[in-house]
Amino acid sequence: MGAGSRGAARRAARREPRMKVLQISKFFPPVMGGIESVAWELAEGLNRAGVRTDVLCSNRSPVTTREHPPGGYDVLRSASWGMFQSTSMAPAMIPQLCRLADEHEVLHVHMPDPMAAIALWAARPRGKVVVHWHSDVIRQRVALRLYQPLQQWLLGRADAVVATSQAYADASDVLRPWRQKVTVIPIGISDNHGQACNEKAAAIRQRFRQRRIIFSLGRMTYYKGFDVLIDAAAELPDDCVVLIGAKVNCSTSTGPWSPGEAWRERSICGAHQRRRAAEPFRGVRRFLLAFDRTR
Amino acid sequence: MGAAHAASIPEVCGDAALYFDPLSVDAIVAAMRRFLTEDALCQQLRRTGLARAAGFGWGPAAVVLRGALPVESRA
Repeated sequence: MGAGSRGAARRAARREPRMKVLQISKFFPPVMGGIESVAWELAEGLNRAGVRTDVLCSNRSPVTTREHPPGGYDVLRSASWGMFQSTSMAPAMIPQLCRLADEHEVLHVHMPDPMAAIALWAARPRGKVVVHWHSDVIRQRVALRLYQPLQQWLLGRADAVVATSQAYADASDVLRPWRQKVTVIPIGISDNHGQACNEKAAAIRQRFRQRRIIFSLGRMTYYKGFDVLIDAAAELPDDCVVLIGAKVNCSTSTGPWSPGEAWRERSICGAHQRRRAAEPFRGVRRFLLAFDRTR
Repeated sequence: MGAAHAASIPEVCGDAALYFDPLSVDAIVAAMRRFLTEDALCQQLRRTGLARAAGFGWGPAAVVLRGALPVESRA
């Protein structure tokens, strides 16, 4: 958030009685992903603005952990027994949410996340519920049949639904019946990658100074289309290289972290070559955006 | 910037991207070749992209989100 808007938010917060918000996200940084980044930005930004915002999410291991990031809030990671149909199996989230729901006036849940939906259904919170709708469930068609009633209950229970674009809100069959609750809030672009990125970008340019660079960025997952990009890279001249920036190890770390850690090294793909390297894209002149094959 | 003509990407990137069919190797190769040979195109997309990105700040998002919070929670 910018300094001006932070100031305005702080002034607004001073005029209003204290409220506490609970962000409920499938995972939370240092586990990286689009939804995780949004939850992190909201938690950091709201706390900076004087709105106490805690986080409940799933862990990547069968252990529940509690952290206190420098922003002055709590992150509770519920023990998880692994992933099934893209859902983290974290039943510990249910009693934990039942307890936390009474301590927070607003529960802000990021969807799709069937585990969080089950926990909310079980908790029957008295507070207000904001559903942040990042995507319909597309691929898991069988699981969706089971999940659909819960999804409908959650959207019916929601006091507000946030969609990330007007076009998506209009196109989503699931959201259409709840249009009167929908507010469109585009995902922001963070400006906090700064100097470290410049240095890393300079290091990349130095390393590949004899070659023309095309950089692509995205989470290394099946639907981002990197397989097609790798095939395409093989067709380029030898003096070109396609760098794919992504985080390799998404395992949870309980230590301090920064958004810069997202730019871990990954493969470099170019003219049949695949090497390890890395880094952020600031200063890169040619950039390819990964895409979402699930929509 | 080059981007897939798919999902929400055209809506977000607007005229700041050179689009391609994300499932076509040939289309991606063609787009990358243009990037590698057309400096003016790269510079134009870079300028347009930075201008477009400036419109996606967290500040405005926070204001709208605060407005979307249920009235009883804000008062």
